[in-house]
Amino acid sequence: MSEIIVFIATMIGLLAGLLNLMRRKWLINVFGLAIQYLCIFIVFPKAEGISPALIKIIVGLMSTLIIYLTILSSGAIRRDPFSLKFTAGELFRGLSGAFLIFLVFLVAPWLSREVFPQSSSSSLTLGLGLILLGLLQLGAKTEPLYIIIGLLTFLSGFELLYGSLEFSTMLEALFAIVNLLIAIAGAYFITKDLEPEKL
Amino acid sequence: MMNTILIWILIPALLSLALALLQRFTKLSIAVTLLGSGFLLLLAFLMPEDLIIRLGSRQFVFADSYEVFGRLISITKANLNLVGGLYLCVFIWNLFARSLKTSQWFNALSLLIAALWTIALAVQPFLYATVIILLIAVVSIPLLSPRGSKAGPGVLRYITLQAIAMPLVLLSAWMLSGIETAPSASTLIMRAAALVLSGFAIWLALFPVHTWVPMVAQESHPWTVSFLLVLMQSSLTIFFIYFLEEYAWLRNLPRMWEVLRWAGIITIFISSLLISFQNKLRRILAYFYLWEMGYALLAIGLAQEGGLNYLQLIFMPRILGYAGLSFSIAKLEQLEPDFDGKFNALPGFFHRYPVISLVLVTSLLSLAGLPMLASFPAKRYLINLLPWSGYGMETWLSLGFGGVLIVIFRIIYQLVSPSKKEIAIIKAVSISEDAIIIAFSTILILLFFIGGFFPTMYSEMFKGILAPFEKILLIN
Repeated sequence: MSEIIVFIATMIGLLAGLLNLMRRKWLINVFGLAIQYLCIFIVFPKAEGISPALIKIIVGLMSTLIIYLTILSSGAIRRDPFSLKFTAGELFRGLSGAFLIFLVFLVAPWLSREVFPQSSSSSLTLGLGLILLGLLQLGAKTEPLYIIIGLLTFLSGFELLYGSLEFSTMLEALFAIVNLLIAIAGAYFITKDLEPEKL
Repeated sequence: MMNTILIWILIPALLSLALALLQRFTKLSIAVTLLGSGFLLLLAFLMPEDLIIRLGSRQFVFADSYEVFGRLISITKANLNLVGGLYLCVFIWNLFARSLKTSQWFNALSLLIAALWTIALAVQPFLYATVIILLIAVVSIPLLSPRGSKAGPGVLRYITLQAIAMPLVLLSAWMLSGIETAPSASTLIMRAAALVLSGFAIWLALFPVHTWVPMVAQESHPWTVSFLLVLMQSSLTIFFIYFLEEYAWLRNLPRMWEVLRWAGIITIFISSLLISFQNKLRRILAYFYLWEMGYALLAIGLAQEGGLNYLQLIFMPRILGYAGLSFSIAKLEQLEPDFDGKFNALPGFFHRYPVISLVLVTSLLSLAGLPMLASFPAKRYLINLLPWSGYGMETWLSLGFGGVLIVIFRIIYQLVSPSKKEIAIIKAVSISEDAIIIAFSTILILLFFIGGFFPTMYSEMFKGILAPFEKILLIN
C-alpha cells in the first residue's frame, strides 16, 4: 500500500514540476511548488526517522509561503484569468519537460544499479526529475520569480537525492538556511522590481 | 577559555546582525565595521603559533575548534593568515564603501560574507563548505543588486551557476567518501573526478562558464564586485588546494597537474583575448579576475615545482590591484555623472582627474605584471617555473600578455587624449579630486611600488597559507 502511495507521490511531484516549468501563472506555480514539497515529504527516505522529511516539508512550505505572501502583498502580479489554452512557449517547455521525465524513467534503473545503489527508485526518479526540470526552468526563463522557483525545484530534487545517500544534521541545517534565503531573495527581487529605478 | 571560532566567525556574524539594524546610522555603521574588521585582522596576524596571548602576567588561551551539529569547525594558526587576509579586504573595502555609494547593506554584509568564507575554510569535513559557498552567493544578492535598480540577468546567472556547482562537488565527494587511494583509472575515480572538476570549473568561472563575471561586473557597483571577487578568488583557490591535499585519488590522476597547467594557460589566453576587444571599463575588472584566475590555476598546476608560493606572493598585490582598479572606476563614475563607462568617453579625463587616472593605469599595469609593480615578482616567479614545453606554454602566455597590454594602452591613449569639448581647458590642479582621493591614491601607488621592489614584505604576511598543505608540498 505504502509503495503505491510513494509511486503516486513521485508521479504527482514530477507533474507539479512539469506544470511549474510550463505555465507562467504565479498562483499555479506557487501551488505547484507546495505540491512538490508535499510529494518530497512522502518520498523522502525515513531511515533516520521522520524528522528529516518533516524539516524538508516545513522549510519547503515556508519558502513557498514567503513567495506567495510577497506576491500577494505587493500586488506585483495580477490575477490572470485561468485558461486551458497553451502558448507556443508553454507547449515547447511542456514537451521538453515531458521528454526529460521520460529520459529519467529510462536511465533511473541503470543509475540505481551503477551509481546510486543506496537510493530507492522513487527517490532517484523524483530527485533526478526535479533536478532536470529545475535546470530546464533555469535555462528557459529569465524573470526572477521563475528563476527562484527553478532554483528551489533544482535544490529540492538534489536534497531528495542526497538525502537517500547520506544523512548529516549539519548539511540538513545548511540546506534549510539556503532554501529559506533563496525564497527571501525571491521576495526581495519581486519587491525591488516594483520600485522606481534611481537615476 | 576563548575560541578562535568565537572570535573570527561568531563575533563578526553578530556584529553584522547589529549593523543590519544600524544601517541607517552611516557613520556609526562604518566606525563599527572598521574597528571590528581592523581588530580581527590584527589579531589574526599577531596571534602566536601556540594560540596563547600573554599580556603581562595574564594569559589568554585560545581553543582552535568548536563542535556544531556533531561536526568540527576549526581555525588553527595555519588558517589565520588567510582569515586575516579576508578581514583585511573587509577593512579596505569598508573604508570607501559608503562614500562610493554602494548598497546600504555593505557594512553588515561584508562582515557576514567574510565570516561565511571563514566557516567555509574551517568546517570539517570541508565538503560542507560547498553549501556555504552557495549561501555566500545568496547573501551577496542585496550587494550586487541593491534596491532602486532592476535585477539584472548577471546576478541571476551567478546564483544559478553557484547552485549547479554545489551538487557536483558534493556528489563527487560522497562517491569516494572513505577512499584515500584507489587505482587512478577506475571508473569510479574518473566519474568523481569529472564531477569535482566540473564543479570547480563553474566556481572558478573558467571558460565557457565565465559569462556571469562580466555580466555582474557590468550590472553592479565596481567596488562591491571587486570585494566579492577578491574574497572569492582567494578562498576558492585555497579550497581547491584543500581538495587536492585531502584526496590522493584526485592529485594522482594521470596528467592531472599538466591539465591544471594548461587550464591556467588557456584561461589566461582567453581572458586576455576577450579583454582586448572590450570597450567598457567595468568589464575590464571582470576579465582581470579571469586573468588572475588563470595564473592561480597555473600556480596550482606547478605545485610540484613550488608554484604554490605564487599564491602567498600574489595575495596582497591582487588585493591592491582590484582595490585600485575598482576605486578609480567607481570614482570616475561618481565624479562624472554622464560617464557611461565606455573607453570613448575617457578623453580629457587625465587632465580633469590626473590622480584617479594614474591609479587606474598603475592598477592595470600592476595586475598585468609589469616590472617594478606589485604583481611582477609573483608572475615572474611563476613564469620561471614553467617546464619546457617546446615553447607551447610560453607562446600562449605571451599572446595572453599581449592582449592585456593592448587594452591597457587603449585606455592610456583615451585618457591622455584631449577632450572633444574642451581641448583648450587643461587645468593644472584638479578641483574634483579631494584630499582623501589624493591621499588614498598616493598610498596605493606607493604600495604598488613597494610590492614591486620588496616583494617579501607582502609574502611574509601570507606565508602561513601554505602550511596546511603538507602532502602537496611533499610531492616536490
